[in-house]
Amino acid sequence: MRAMRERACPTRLSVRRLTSRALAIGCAFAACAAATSAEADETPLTFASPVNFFFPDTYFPTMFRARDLDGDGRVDLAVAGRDTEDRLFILKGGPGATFAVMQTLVAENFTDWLEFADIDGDGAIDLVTAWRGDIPRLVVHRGLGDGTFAAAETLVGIEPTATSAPGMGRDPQGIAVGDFDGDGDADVAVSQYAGFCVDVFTNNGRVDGVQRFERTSRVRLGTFLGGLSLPRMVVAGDVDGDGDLDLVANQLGGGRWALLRNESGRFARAVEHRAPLVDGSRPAITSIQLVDLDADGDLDVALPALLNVGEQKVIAFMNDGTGRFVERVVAVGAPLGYAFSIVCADLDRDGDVDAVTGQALPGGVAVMRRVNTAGFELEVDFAPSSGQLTRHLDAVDVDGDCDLDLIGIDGIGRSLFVRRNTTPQRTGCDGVAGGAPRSKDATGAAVAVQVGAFEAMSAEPARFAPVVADFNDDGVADSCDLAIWLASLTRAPRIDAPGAMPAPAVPAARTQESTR
Amino acid sequence: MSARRGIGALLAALVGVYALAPAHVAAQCPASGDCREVHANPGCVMPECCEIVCDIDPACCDTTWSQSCVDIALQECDGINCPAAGSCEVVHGSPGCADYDCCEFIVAVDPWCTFGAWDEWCAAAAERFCDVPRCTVDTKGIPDEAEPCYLRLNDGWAAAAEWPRIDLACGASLKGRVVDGGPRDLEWFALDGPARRRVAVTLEAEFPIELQYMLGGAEGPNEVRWLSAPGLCAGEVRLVFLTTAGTGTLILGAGDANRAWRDGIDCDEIDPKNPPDPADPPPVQVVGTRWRLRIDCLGIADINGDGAVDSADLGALLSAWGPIDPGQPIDVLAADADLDGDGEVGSADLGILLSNW
Repeated sequence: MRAMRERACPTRLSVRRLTSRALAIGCAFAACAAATSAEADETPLTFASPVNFFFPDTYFPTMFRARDLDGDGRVDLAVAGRDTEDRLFILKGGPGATFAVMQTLVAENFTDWLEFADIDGDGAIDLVTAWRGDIPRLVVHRGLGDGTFAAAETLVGIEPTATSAPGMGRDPQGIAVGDFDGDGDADVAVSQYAGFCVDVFTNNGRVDGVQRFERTSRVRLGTFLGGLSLPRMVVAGDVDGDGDLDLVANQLGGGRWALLRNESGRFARAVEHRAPLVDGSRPAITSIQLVDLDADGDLDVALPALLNVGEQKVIAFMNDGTGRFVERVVAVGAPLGYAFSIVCADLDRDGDVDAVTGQALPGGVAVMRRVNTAGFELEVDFAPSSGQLTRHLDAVDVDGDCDLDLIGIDGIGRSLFVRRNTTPQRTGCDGVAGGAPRSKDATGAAVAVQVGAFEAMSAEPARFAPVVADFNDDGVADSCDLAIWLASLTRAPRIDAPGAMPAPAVPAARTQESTR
Repeated sequence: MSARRGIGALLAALVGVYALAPAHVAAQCPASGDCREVHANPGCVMPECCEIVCDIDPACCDTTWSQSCVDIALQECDGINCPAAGSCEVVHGSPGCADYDCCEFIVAVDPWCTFGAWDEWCAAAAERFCDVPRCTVDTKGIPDEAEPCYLRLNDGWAAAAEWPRIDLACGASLKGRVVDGGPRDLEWFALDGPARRRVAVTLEAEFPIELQYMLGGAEGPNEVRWLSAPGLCAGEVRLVFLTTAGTGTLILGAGDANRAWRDGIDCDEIDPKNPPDPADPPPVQVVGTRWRLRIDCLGIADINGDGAVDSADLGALLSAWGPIDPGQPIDVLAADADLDGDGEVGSADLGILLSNW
């Protein structure tokens, strides 16, 4: 640990504030000094070994949302995925951070994203998803109040029907739910991956037993690009502090993220922000999170920066409170693999926001502790590799012990993993301020945890090498193309494909939960 | 499975992989009958698919369209859907549409329309472009941008590589060509300046014009203030608008209000460093590629761009009086009367106009 901290200061010196080189140098030195004197920031973040849940053979999960659906006090999950058998899974949380199938829903074609929301205003949580494929649709599974959901109702399709609205775009990937027009009900925004736009569908209420939606805004992204913008995620939050929900969306192809300001319920145009050069390379932006990184009360933007060479990074765009992002900060990232997903949260309850990225090839996570609050400097505490592609991550208190655990999706490995937080919490947990250090394995039993050390690399290396071509049609094969290729992966390519490596046997010791 | 096919098609489209029809043309192609169903007569309704199948099994064009012909069609004609059921101008849930020529034109510029559903983009493009006669733009005597269509010389920061922008002086004209490719060809015209100013752009092109005005430099942030798509062979178009202080760029490409055109207007010049393979298909140009453009600098209060600040401009300003709704896209064809750029047409703008009378 000592050696690691000693290495950490030079690492922090690499933080780059692109708005001012002089400021960068000054802040880096100041932050380094502050960090070494701040005891609160010296306890490494630690997590237990993963508990895995494996999905059936044809199911490749893409993301999830967590919530106690059945009121038993445990976190349940709804998991989107790509499945040739047209399924979507609701998982019931069990003891020891385990999950079992509670319900299997029919979800025609692939579903990359889902959100919980009370769409019909009946007080029960519904499940909103976007179906990709040749005939894309926005659908809702109405909540039945007991943690289960009804069959899908189409809200928006490509052509009007008696029960659904027209106006769906092409290849919907991400969705965000919020009251965008301020009328008290839940509206839906959709990122159209092959439509190169974000659509906003307004909820007009339930009329004659039919939930009525209408597309009220469409904002094209990356129109000035020679290549394809390919928006993946869309996230809602009040970015400009005017009391309504704005939208941000990342572009896999464009290497940018876009801010769409809400103007009285309408979205007319985007302000597109570019990832800064990192060691001469332009990173891809694979995911996006709105989070207050500098504790100044506004939402900043956190991004995993995928670089096709070298160490990965985390990039922060700092909000000045009005929705202007004038400062870009590059922080350390995963030492191995390609950064794909991100979640920023206070993992040790010390009052600042830490960061975790999910990687691809190999999969796994990199847990990064915040070493100061005002700036955005990180130190990698824990970077175990496992699986192939950590497509989605979230921080959720799975075991009810008050701290935030990690749940991730290995999109290619057909699995979901839970890593329980074993970090001594600074405040608030177990009723003891300063929280006694706790160590526990996957079942909650006390074990010795090698604090601060990297886990041994997984015995399961990446199954194949990345294939990079000019997928976004911008004339070069670079990080953005690698990001597009990773996002497109459903299952591992044939091992005789160009650039592929032979697939190793799955280690026998790997935990496998029942999927029935 | 359809989703996988669609995603595969998208990926194929992204990497530019398309099925190519054989050169052989069977006498019975096209003929009546669905290529994917058994029927008594030889040949089938989709010319391209019919040719592929008959090239593999000539009996399909000599005797009858048998089950083996259907099997070949199902195997080989994935993504070939012209003609198909459904009006070209109406959204429907299957690929292709009934008017063969229109269908072929639309799928040439938007391959999604032959893989996924005939969605609103396909239908809107059909309605807007299918019956428009092609045109020729007279570019005699106009200086050429001197950009071979296999190069990207004036494309700003449209891609990972960064190129220069065209700096066109007030009153100057330029001509050039726009093609598709990776990246698609764009023309970036610098409209930088220390203060707000009014310009008029006069433009004509043989392809559907997509013209946009974007703020911000290479590192961003960037905001497209407006995007105008006057259409295909719309004749000479004149846009009068105000630029914003700082870095601004006028970007010309091919496209419509819904999407950029990235297919159907191939470069037809040979790159000496990367000559085409003899086996490559000939370049496809479903529309012409030439454009000409002129930029004029006007007085800031010359709202209608007629060269004088007078009662007509006063009328335009008074018609636009009041706050500008930021929730609506900017219509560059409407009078741009917010002379001070404060988001409202008001007394301050009136003062500027009167002081420039």
